[in-house]
Amino acid sequence: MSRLKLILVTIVITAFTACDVLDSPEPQQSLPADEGLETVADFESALNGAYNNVQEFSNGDNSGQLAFLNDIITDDAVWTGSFPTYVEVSAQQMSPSNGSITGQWNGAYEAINSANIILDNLDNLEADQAVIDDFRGQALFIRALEYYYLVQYFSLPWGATADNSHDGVPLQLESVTSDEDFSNPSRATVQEVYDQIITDLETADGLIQNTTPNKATNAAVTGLLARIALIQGEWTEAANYAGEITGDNAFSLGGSVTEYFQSELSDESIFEIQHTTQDVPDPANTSLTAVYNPGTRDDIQISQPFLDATDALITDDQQTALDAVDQSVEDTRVTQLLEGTTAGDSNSLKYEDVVNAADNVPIMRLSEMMLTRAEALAEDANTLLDVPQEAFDLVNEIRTRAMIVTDNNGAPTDPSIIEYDQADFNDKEEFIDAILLERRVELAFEGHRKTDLQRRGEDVGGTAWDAPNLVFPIPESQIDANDNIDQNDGYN
Amino acid sequence: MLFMRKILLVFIINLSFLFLAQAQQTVTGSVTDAETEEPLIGVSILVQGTNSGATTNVDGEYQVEVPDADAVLEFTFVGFRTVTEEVNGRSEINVEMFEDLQELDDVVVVGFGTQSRRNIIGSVSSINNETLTESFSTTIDKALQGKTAGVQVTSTSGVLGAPVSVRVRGTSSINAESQPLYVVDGVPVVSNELGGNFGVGGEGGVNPLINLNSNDIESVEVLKDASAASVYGSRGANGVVLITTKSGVEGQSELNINMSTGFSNPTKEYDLLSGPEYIEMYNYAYGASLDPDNFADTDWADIVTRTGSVQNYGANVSGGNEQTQYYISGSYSIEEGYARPNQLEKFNALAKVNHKFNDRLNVSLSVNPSRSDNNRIPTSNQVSAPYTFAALEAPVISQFLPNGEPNDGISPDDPGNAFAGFNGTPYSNILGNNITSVTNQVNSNGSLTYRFPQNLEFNTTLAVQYLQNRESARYATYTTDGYPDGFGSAANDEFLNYSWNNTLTYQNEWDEHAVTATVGATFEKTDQTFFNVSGNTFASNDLPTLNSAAEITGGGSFIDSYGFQNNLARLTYGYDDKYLLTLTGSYNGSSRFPDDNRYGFFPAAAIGWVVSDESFMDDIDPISFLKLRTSYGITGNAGIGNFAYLGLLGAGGNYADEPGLALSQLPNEDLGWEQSKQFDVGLEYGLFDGTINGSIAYYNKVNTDLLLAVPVSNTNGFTSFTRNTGEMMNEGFEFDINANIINEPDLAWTVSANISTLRNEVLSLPAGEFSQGENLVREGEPIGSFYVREYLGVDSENGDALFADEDGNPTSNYNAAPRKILSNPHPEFFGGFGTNVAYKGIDANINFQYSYGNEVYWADGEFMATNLSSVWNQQTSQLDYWTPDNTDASVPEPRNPGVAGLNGSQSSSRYLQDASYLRLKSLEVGYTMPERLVNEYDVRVFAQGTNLLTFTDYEGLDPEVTPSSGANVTQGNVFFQLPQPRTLLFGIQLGL
Repeated sequence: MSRLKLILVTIVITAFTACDVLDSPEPQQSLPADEGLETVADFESALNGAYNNVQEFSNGDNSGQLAFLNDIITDDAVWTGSFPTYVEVSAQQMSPSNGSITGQWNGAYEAINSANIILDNLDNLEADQAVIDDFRGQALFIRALEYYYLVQYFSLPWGATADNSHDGVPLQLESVTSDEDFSNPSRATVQEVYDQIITDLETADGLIQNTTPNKATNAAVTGLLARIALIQGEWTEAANYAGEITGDNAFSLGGSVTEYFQSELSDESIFEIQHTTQDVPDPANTSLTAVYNPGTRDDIQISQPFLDATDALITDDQQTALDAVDQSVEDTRVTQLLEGTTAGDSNSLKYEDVVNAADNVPIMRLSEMMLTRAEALAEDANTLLDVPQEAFDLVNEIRTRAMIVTDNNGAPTDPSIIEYDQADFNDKEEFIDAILLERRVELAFEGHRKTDLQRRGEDVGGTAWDAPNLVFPIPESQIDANDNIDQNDGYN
Repeated sequence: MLFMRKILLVFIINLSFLFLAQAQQTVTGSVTDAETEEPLIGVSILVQGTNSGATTNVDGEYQVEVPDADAVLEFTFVGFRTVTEEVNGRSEINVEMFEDLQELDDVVVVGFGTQSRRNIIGSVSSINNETLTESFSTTIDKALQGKTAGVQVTSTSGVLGAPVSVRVRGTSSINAESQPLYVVDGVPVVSNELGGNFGVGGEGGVNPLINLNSNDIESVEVLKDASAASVYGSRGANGVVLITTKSGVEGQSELNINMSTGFSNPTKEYDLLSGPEYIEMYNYAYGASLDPDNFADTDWADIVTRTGSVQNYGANVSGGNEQTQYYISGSYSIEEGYARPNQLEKFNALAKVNHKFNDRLNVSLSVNPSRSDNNRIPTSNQVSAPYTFAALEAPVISQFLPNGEPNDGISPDDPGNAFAGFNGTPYSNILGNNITSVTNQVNSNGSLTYRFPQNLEFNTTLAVQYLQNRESARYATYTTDGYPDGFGSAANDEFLNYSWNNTLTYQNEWDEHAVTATVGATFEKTDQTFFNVSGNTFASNDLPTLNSAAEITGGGSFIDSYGFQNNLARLTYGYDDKYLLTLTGSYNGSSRFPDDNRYGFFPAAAIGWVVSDESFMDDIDPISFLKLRTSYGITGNAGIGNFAYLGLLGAGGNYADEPGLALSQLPNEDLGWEQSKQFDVGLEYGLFDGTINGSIAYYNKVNTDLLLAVPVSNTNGFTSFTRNTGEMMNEGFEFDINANIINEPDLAWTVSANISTLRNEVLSLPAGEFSQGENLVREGEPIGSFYVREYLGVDSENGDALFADEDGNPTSNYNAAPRKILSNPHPEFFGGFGTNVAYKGIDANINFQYSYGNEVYWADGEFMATNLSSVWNQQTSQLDYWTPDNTDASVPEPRNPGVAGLNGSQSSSRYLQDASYLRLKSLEVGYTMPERLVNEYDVRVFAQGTNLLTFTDYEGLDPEVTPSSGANVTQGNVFFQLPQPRTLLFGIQLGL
């Protein structure tokens, strides 16, 4: 055999047996899941991953939706933008295939699984007990927060049945890390869901080391307990939990109403979802900035009933008193946080980062706790005369921050003229109405309105508080995939 | 590997039959075309029963050694009927050859080899260059439309260079890839949609086939059945498209030049409300009393469209001698789309050289560099897409502000801006958006063939595809996406795809036996690298790059790769040229599957019978050719994510500038190949000496072990889990017919037509049904069936939109109406027909394409046919809305949704439409100058129209549309995709 032939035969044999191209490709953007959670650093990453699930829904939408849906379904604001999924919510005519609602549901359970994975693996972590406790406390807060939003949106409100035995949401409390863990849970009752949230929060209370409000803190745990107690009408508890925060000198109101919105992680903040210029889910469409700010999509317009409410903040008696001394009052929540005061051409300016839409999502801040405590103290009192002065003081602190009283030369003067005291009201219900009005304006467009109306049994945009069309449908894909889950009334 | 060894053994046994030595004599002669009497160059002459032969030279002359005086010579030439001559002791034999109307002896590329059309018993459609260039299309895949049965080609958009959906014999998968495998000159190429990387603007993908020049393409073959596709077993389940580029042929050097220029328009535009009509409707809905005189009346659609233009220039030289042949081509084209500012510029070169080192060794090299420079517009799903925005932007918004500046959609100086949904206007976006997508591609391919003495041929081909897509986007401060401080982003995506194909082919004929056997091994690896950056806040709108961005807002990079390994074998056997058998098998591995399931075996068998060669057919004159064929086999699909079987902790889930990890994928060690089991039976016929020829085929394709994202209860934190489960079927009949009605030197007239039926059914879905938007996947129904609430029109009493409740009775309560399957996006039948006429120097062809029974969910309507449910402009059809004075209306009452809720604009059958259509796809008239006018040159001038007329009841822009090339479940669910351009071209072709 000539040398050429030898070479050729070698080539042929090589050609048929050559290289292995199958084993070399390996993932470069992910780690193998079975390497799991072992070190403190692993748990830190996993916890950040869980917060990221809170920050961004599984469909990529911004968690700002958690806030704005609670407002556009009411008569405070109306969705005038193009996205049909939000038009449906604003019109209280949702369909089970609504992609935004589906994303919110899926995102919640994704975050819950991330939290469950941390909770189920903490026993394997060898570290200081304080470090382990901190992870446990934060993971429990994330789980509680997600169930809180799920039950707000996907169930009839607390109190819709006498014993709250109506359908809540499925409780998934075990982690899913392989297909063997899949389950098809049915819906727990609203009572059971609230019990679980309270259990998680009570367990978490005191465990957390972190004090920065972009992640869970003991104060955020307490604040959420206060909010839930308020919904449940447990006034003493609500007053006590909220009092823990209003009495904590780590928290203080900012000097102006805009300060909280223009700065991040301020002393007024209890919990907010952090965005940075490099990390804003879907900035252009579903961020709070995009939907509210008139300089961007401008999808949400402020409604007339809300604008009327801002006019009612000064009582007739107060107005008479002001006129008598030739003074006038400016509410900076109207002049600085709203643009335009005609319905249909009025916007909220709370979310001001037009360039990057990196405004944080305000979940909980001191004003809410002050108003919660004031309301709970008033409710807990038998009569107006029993309402402690602290309740008036809390409301007045918020009013005097927001309102500037000026004399006839335009110079600021003593604002005490617009403060409340017992003499301003005929009974405690009148005072409570004043607190709720203050709350409506102070916490406007931060995701409170529907919940506040429902817990007070008031109509939501002309619809009875416990009507089924205020409840989101369970997503179609969820119903399709799990026969044990019943659809909400009105969507079958 | 065991079966490969067996096949090698078969080779060796056969080799021992081979050796024969004989005394020799010489025969010479010439070969001419019987009609033109011109010499034929490159005719191959084979001494029957031997391996020796010759080809004719530039004068059509040949010289061949024959073993003895009784030898038989076989003259074959592409496009001509084969001639056999017994030598009978002659030393000079002159032969006239006749054009073969049946094209039975055409050589057809079949994947790792070629076969004559006559002997193919798999299902292979072949489309030649002439057919491909009958219409003007930016990408080659589009040119296949309507040309052959069983291949359904659908545009995703009329944007220049948009991806095209190609479905060979139906949709074969639910969640995995359904596009065919593209193989260029024997090498599988990366044909993913490229680009579309940006968070803002979200430009849609670019078709990677954009870089192929249709003038350089010799032919396109579509491998449709299992027998044909199974040599590409692992990736053959969706069919295989083989693209063969032109090569030089021995003989006189040729120079061809072609130039054309023309213009384009959209095939359809919407009729929209004028400013006063809009105000009138608004006043009714909102109880307002605005005066239309206070507002503008702007025709936005007119502002964003223009008459597009096309210019094409191309030249190629080819030729060579017996040792070396070459083909060199270059082309340039520039298209301005009708949608401003869409523009596409393409540069393409191809150089191929083939050198016969000696009788045994042949080497060839081809290099194909190309570039396309695309001025993109955002995909239609973006509000910043010019036409989408133009259709939706209220006409009462003015184009310019009173100060003469373009309106930015925000300024209080225009009262119409109260109706603006967004910053920017369609016009300011055109001025301020600059989106480019540059695709650079080099395909190179080196091949070596060595002929061993014993009829054994070894070929090794090493190919490298380098593909780069670079995108940049810059939005000025006054645009929708750039407000308020400007936005920019840039991305680079690069693929390096190596493949190495090795084959060993044994070919022999003796007595009545003809055998070709091929074994091969191929290795393929693709690496992808990507990076991007984005930022905002620029000092000036005139600064185009990210270096000028004050704030970098995002960026990242990733690396990805996959590999395929394929061992293949094919045996074709013919007995007496009448009884044909093809056995194929491939043993394939993919890095996408876990170790235990990495390899799959994909066998196929086909048998054929040339009935017309039987003696009992001799008396049946009209039938000149009749072949029956049938095949059955299995092919595979690995078209899923690269690491779908691994449990993964995904990085990038960061929070508050701290790194995060989250479980992104659950492990699945059982994942394996999706399989396609296809039965095919067909009949190919020629009548009246080939005046009429065609084929009839039936196929039944069952896809099993579907790589299905099985829905799981979302409460698990996951919405689906990919398993091999479920079965889906496609079946259909395919008819192709060509008639050469007149074939005289001065007059030729041919007619051709094809029709395909298609029936898709999901056979088994153990995991249960699921829906995506309006499309449903349910056992017993076609994939992607439209599953919507039924709309019943307007309640004449009160103007309510009505839907059908559980019992089919009208209700105005939307949620009381159950969703039900009303139709599906698949055509009942589709195809094309056309005719060619040539009279003296004049030639003309006309082609139609059609589709019948396919429905489209027209999501545009949820915005522009909503009886004004929001600020968006409406179609003029909405003017017939209900009022107390117009109770017999076709459109529900316009109402303020914030007060009265939605009135019929929700997803329902109101927007489900029959998109059957007939389209005059192309009309071309050419004139070839008489030789006496232009010396020896070939000069042809032509005019060519594409997409000239469309007949349809569909209300949307274009009935020929699907949301993306990868859409399986969501096909036919569209949103403002731009219609195809209507193009008119004038050109000249010169041949020297």
